Amino acid sequence: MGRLDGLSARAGLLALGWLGLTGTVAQLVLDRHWSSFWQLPPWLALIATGFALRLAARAEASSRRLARWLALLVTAIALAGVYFHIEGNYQAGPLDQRFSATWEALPLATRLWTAATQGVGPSPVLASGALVMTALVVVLATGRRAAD
Amino acid sequence: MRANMWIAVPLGGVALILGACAGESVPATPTPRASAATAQLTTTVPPSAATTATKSAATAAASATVSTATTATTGSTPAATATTTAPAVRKVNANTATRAEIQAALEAAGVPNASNWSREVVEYRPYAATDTNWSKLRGELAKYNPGPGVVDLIISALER
Repeated sequence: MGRLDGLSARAGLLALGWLGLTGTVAQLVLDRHWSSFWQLPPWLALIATGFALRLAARAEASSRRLARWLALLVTAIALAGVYFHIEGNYQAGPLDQRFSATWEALPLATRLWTAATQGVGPSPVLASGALVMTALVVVLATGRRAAD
Repeated sequence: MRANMWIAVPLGGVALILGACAGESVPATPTPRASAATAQLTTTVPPSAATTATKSAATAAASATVSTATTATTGSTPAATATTTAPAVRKVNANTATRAEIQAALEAAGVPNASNWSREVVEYRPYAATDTNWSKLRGELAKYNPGPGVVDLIISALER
């Protein structure tokens, strides 16, 4: 296998980023992730990711710096998404017929673990982690260039 | 590049942690997880219409419980049952009522955990008038694995 130069590596990373972005959009569409206000922030994060990927492809250092800040914003939204998914599952505990009579009596750690591992509730806990990966790709693609 | 690594390494760590955190949970009770479809199909059975509860085989479990209770009632007071009508449930508009109003209506309808269910009803607004069977709400609520009849109880307290 030939050795990748910096340009090829950057192009590959950006391609991975766009692939991740497209896949996440497709998944959110399939999930109809727009039925309430709090299901909208991931779309904001995806828009930010798109801008970040565009900026990461540019040569100016200032553009790449902005891309990294956008990646940080996307990461924050993604981590918030993980939290809110766990919180949503936790709140759904008493609604599940398997737990409705016992949820409040369970130890807090058990309830948290059950919610965090999607043993209860409808929210996919780690789904928004995909945005973290895309943000990481953006950061890696904004590495200093030889001309810098 | 070194500056990038200060950002990339923590981000990579977060990604790895997120990827490693998946696992199985332990149900609190051995009750098998009932299908969402069963919960959705279950028919709400007011006392005066209990016989309709046995129409669907899919709702056999829920129907059996309700039918038994109603049979006992009708057996003891047949005359009274013949003239009894279902208690009037005060309906609230699912699209415009406040969460507190919805919660009160759900409590009046006998919905368990009315507070939590009212939050879900509010979250998935709006509900189209053309959706006569409340398919949207049924689909959303079914994700929570509610007990038999709960979704129908909730919908019995709502209007558009």
